[in-house]
Formats: sequence, structure tokens, C-alpha cells
Amino acid sequence: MTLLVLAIYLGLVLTVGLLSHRSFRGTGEDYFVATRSIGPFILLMSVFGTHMTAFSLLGASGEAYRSGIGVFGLMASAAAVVAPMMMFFIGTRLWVAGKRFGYLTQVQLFRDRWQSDALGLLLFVVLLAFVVPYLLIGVLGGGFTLTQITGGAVPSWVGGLAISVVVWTYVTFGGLRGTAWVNTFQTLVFMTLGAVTVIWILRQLGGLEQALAQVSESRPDLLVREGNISQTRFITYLLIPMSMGMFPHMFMHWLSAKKVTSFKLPMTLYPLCVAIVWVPSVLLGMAGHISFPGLQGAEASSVLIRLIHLHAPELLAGLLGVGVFAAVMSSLDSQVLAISTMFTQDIVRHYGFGDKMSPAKQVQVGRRFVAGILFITYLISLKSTATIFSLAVWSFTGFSGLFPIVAAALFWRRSTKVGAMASVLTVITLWTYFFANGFGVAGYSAFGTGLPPVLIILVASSLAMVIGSLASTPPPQAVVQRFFGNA
Amino acid sequence: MGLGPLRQRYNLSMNGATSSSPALRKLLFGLLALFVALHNDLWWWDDPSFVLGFPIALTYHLGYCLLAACLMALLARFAWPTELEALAEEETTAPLPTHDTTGGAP
Repeated sequence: MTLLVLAIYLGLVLTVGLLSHRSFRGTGEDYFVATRSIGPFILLMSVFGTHMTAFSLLGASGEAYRSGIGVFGLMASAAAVVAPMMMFFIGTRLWVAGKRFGYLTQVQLFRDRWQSDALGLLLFVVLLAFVVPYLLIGVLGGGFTLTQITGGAVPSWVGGLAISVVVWTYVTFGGLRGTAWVNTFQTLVFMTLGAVTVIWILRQLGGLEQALAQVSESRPDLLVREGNISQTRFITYLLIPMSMGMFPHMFMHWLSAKKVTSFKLPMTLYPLCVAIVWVPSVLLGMAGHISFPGLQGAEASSVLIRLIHLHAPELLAGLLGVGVFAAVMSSLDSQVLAISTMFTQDIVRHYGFGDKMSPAKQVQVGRRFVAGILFITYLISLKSTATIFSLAVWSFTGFSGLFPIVAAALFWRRSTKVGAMASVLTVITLWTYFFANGFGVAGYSAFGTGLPPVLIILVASSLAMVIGSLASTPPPQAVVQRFFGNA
Repeated sequence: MGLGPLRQRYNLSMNGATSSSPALRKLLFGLLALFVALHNDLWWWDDPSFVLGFPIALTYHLGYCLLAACLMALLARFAWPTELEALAEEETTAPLPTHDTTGGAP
């Protein structure tokens, strides 16, 4: 029954995505940014659905299982304030630049802003490298979900494969409009089913008060942050949601807005949506100790699904599993489309390979490239033992480190390509060093200082941007005027 | 005191539209900075007490999310960068140097 519900849902998602193909207007702009026609509600749902991945259901509940209530402040309420700020200060300005100059990708913007081809190519590689761990979260989440919800009857490789194939198919046909439609549908599904899950499971555990009382008795340490999360980590994690400003898939959704005022609704309701999704995840994560004490490492990421499997009847378990699938796919699809857009626009078309190909052939090449990336991600997922939470944090750390690039492009006239290049190279060097030394190390801090890598990388890349820009020749006046006007 | 002087000072109109006076913008941006700082509720770091049925730190951050929504609504209404709307309608002065957006679709 559970499998049947999941199969029906995947079929439904495919249908919505394929139906959106009927609205396709036959242009690249329509395929990649839905001809900038997305209104406020769909924008909210698609941006929120894209941002909240397996990380916010499986990762958050797993981390709450390990570290308790502090996870909510650490990631959720931090995103509740920083993400809308990103939309307000960055998203609106990127949308205007995209509309004025016809950009479809970040690389086009940065290449144009600083008149540097090499910078564009470097950024393409770096952005792609940081997206892969993010893709991995989705593929791993799909695998976990199917295995746990079927009580181990279906191996995890099937879930990851099913999700990858379905997402690749509807993105291929639906483009951004299809992705936005499916995201809206899936976001509503996972928000509703998330609420149903928490109500159902807590009822089975005797109600919220009873469940928290049991947690308080068996693991009182989870109800405070002392001993679970350091204060330095808590404060500096406010920098992590700044990654949103550099996500390629977020850039793509922002560009799809109909008007700049379309951002008003999403930025206002975003904090409420975050609370609706994260509070159940955190509560259920902690309540997992009642039924499943002693889960270790990556096992803890599956605590939510274990709870569903144990406490919900089969049909409901299928529906609740659908909620997790929805959250996973609503992010994976946007990332897949962003990679496809970047490869088609920034490599195939930009370097003239497209001159020898028809537009349809170019997109075919883009699809094959994405299929290849997904396949590699899938292979990594088969071997990965990393937790969803840690994978996400490393990916977000990289994107946050690149934040000075977009801030300088939009707000600092004097910034130069030398500064931007220095900033990117600093991020690459430091991120690689920290990742090599700290991946999988609990409580890892940069150079043993107690500070998380994100702070060091962000400060260093900002300094590199400032020093590199001031030490190099100012950008041509014509370019500055083109972007900022004469004022 | 009526709302008149306040409206005049902060350049608010009755129909909800605003021309985003610099003073009001600064005020809201200051409030935003303060609000971001208030995220760091270190004062009850190891307090296990319950408020409104939840551990106190969770209640605080849930309330924080609700207040964030209110603050964002104020920013969207009274500090909106209206100049961007005009800029978006402006004709660009130079053609795109490196790409076009007409093709590449299936």
C-alpha cells in the first residue's frame, strides 16, 4: 500500500510537470525563466520549496535527535530572518539586472559586470562543485525515505534512482514553469503532510506534553542548548543562510518573477513558512528518542521516517512518505534545471559550441550533461555515509563564502574583476582545506579556534574582494554607468 | 497627537503606497539590525523551563519567526526600493555583449 501511494504520487508529479509543457512558448527565455511571468504566490512556494530540502525534514529531525531544540534557532529562525533579507536586498536587484540585460544565469551577470571570461568559467566550476553536495542530500533523502518507510523491503538505491529519474524527466519537459508548478504543488503537499505527521505521531506518543515530558526524563540535555551547540557556533550560523544569495537555483527562481514587487509576499510570509516546516521536524526529532533511542551518525537522519513507519497505518505512512518525497524533489528539480541552464548558456552557447548546433540540440546536450551529473551524484550516494545535515552545512558554507561576489557586483561600483577573482580563489582554497580536514569531524572548528569555517571563509573572501579591487585598476566608467547609471 | 505629523515626517500616504522616505528607511533598517542581533538569545542558554508548552528557547525562536514576518511586512510596505521599479523599466544603453536569450529551448 505504501509503495502504491508513493508510485501514484510520483505519477502525479510527472503529470503536473508534463502538463506545464502545454504553456511552453518555444523560447529559451520561456524554458529557463518562464518568460519572467511568475506571480507572488507561486514565487513564494517555489522559492520556499526549493530552499527547504531533505535537509529541513530529515536533516533537521536528525540533528534535533542529536542536539535538541537548539537546532531550530541555529538553522530555522536564522533562515527566517536572513532569507527574506536576501530576497529584499539581493533578489530584487538581481531581478532588475536580469530583466534589463536579459541574464539567465549568475555567470552571465558576473561575466558581464566585470567583463571577464575567465571569472565566468571559474565561477561555473565552483558553483557546480558546491551544488553537488546539495544534490546528494536529495538523492540520499529519497533513498532513506523509501527504505525506512517500507521497513527495509526496498533498498535505498531504488529510492534515490526513482527520485532522480522522475525529477530529470519533468524538468526536461517542463523547464522553469514546470518546475515552479510542481514546486508549488509539492510545497503545499509537504507543508500539509508535515503538520499531519506531527499531529498523528505526537497523538500516538500521548500528546505533545507527554512526549516532551518523556524526552525531559530520558534526555533532559536536549531541551537546552548548553552542551549541544556552542554559543560561537550559534551566533556565526546566522551567516549560513546568506548562501541563498549565491544559490544558482535561487537566482533562477528570482529571475522568473513577474515584477519586482512580486518579492513582497514571499519575503513577508517566508518566516512563517519556515516555522511551519521546522517546528514539527525538531519536535519529532527529539521525540524519536522515545521510540528509537541510541541511533548513531547517519542513522539519525532517518528518525522521522522510522517514526512514521512505526506509528502510522500503512496508507497514512505512504502519504507521509509522500510529504518527504515532495520536500526532496522540490529542491532537486530546481538544482537540476539550474545546472542545465548554466551548462547550456555558459558553456555550450557562450563558447560557440552552440553555433554548430540547433537550439534543440543544445538543450539535448544540456540534458545529457545533467543526466551525467545526476548519475555521478547517484553513484556517490551509494557509498556515502555522511549525514544530511553535515552535507548541507558544507554546501551552504561554500555558497555563503561566495556572498561577497554578489554583494560587490550589486552594491560596489569600485569592485573589479581582480577583486572578484581573488575572492573566488580564496573561497576555493579555504573551503577545500577545511573540507579535507573537517568533513565528518564532529564540532570541527577552523584552525582549532572554535570558529566555524563559514566565518573564516566569509571574512577572508570579503577582504580578498576589497584588497584585490583597490589594488587593481578601477573598472571602465562605461561598464559602471551601464549597471548603476550616472548617480 | 494625530497621525498627521507622523505621516508627514515619514512621508506616508493614506492608500498604503509610500515613497519610502529616507528617514523611515533608516529607522526600519536600524530595527532590522537590532532584530538580527536579538537572534542570539544567549541569556537562557541552559534554562530548561517551559513557556507556552515548549522549552523556553524554542518558544522564543518561534516568536522570533512571527516577529520576523511582521518586520518584513513593514520593510515591504515602508522601505521598498521603489527606485528599482523605475530602473527595471529603463531601456538598457548597450546590447548584451556575450549572450542572447532567444534560443536554447527544446
